[in-house]
Amino acid sequence: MLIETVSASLLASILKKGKLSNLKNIYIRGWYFLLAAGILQVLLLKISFLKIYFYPVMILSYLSILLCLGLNYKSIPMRIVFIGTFLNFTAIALNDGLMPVSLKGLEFAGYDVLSLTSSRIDTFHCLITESTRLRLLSDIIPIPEPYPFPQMLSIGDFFIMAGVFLFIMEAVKPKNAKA
Amino acid sequence: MNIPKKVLYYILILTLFAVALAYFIMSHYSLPRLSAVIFWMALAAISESLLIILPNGIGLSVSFATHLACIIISGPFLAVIVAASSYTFCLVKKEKKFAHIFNTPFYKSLFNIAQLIISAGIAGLIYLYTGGSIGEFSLVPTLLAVFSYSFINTLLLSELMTLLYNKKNILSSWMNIYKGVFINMLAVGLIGIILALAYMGYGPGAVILFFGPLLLARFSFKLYINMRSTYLETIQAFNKFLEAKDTYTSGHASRVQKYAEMIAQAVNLSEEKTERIRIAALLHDIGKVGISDNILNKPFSLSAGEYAEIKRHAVIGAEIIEGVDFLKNISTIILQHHERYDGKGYPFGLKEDEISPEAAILSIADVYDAMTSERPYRKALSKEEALVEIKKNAGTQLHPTFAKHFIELLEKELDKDVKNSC
Repeated sequence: MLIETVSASLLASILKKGKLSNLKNIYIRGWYFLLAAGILQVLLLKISFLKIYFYPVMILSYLSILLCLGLNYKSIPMRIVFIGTFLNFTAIALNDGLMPVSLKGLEFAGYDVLSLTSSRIDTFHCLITESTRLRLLSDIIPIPEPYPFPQMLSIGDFFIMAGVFLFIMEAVKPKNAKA
Repeated sequence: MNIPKKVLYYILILTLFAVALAYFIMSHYSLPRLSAVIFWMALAAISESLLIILPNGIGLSVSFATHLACIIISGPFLAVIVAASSYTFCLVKKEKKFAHIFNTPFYKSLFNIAQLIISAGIAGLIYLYTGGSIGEFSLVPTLLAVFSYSFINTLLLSELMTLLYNKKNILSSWMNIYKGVFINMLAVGLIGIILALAYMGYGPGAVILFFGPLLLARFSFKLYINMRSTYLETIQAFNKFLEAKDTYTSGHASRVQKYAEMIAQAVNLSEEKTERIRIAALLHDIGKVGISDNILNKPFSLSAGEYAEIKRHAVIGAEIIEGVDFLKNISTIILQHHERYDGKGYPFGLKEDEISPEAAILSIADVYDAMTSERPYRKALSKEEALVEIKKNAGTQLHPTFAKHFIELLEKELDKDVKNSC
């Protein structure tokens, strides 16, 4: 989802004659919190021992993402990303650290649902069941084929995508000499 | 150095408290096996040795990460021992010499060790009393331990600063330090959690695996800081050259820096912005290199053309600074330091909030120093006369709020002068 957003925004900025070289000037305050969040999630993926701490580590990684976004609150795109991340965070926090996914949506998106053996889809996702809370904020929006990368998105994801798109567009905008 | 009695008493009290706390912890909690203790002690000493002094004078050490990891994996006893040893066994390179515990003043070592024991010990106890358990990871107690550690650590440090430099307000100096380091401590705390998770999952090997990249990151950061200070030194040398050329303004830049810093602190500007003002103040007239000596040192009034030439120094200065990557963010301050609040300044005639606060502060300091020092075309004004001028121009030429704070500062200083002369 992020790969497509970033490519789309880069494409759009080329069409709008933005300066891609401006990308090297991007500075995200507290970027190392994003890095740490990434490391925590990779640890969860790779170290099976940590499964017992899945929930607190997941929450911690989201908190550090939110902290980094919060540090950049002056940028409006970052605020939009913050809102999206916060919506996803709420869904995850209320569902044992997992993002619930709609079964119907999965089917619609062309996913082979019969291959699922349990409600846990992968490390970070599970199926929406009776006990799922806040379904509205879960992955309920299917992006089906013929889209080359069929997937399930949440409402928060759309905020994140819009924010990232705007962030990159803003970054590549040729800056006029400040008066 | 002669240390005040108050400071000695303070360190003494801290030491006694640290000893009592350590005794309590020793008698209530146990240590892991010896190899683990040595492993963490070594790791802590290495990370403390790699302390980086940030441009704002605060030392950033990642040894806190090891203290936190120890709290999580083995409880307060290990944390206290590791915290104390991180200072005891550290080697810091200072100007080509190594500083270690045997060549540091005794009271300094005592303070640092006591301070570390108290921070780590209390954070460890808070971790346990809020539901954290040894060898298991739970989020809320860990976060509380991070907060309490940073809280106590900065509090003890700022109390020392207050006593050493006779500052009145401990709360404001504490808040200042806390604001400056809080985010860093959160980041280092996060590293500590990752170390603890890695240790519990895979043992010491995994910790070293994470430590390697950390050292690399620290090395490149150090290079960046070094490069930055080399840049600054070059530019300051350049500035000296400029002052030599324009004899009337010698010492101007450093005085403006002093005044601007005073105002910035009085209005509680963030440390980041204050730092920017400090650098901008040193360099604010750098654009004068582009202006002919004849005009700069002319002992009588300038023609309109010559005045227009002088005015260009703001733009020239901003252009010079713009070319230096890490100084870019102060070019606006330099560009705007001759703008006036009422919009009658140059180069762009910006007014009120269109002018950055940093530039508005710098311009007050600049105007004041220009008035109180002698110029080719007039004598210096006395402090009282300059104060009257500042009052008169607040709200027209100068930013009213910043000017008000500066006036208060000046009045306090004048009062002091009067008292001293009596």
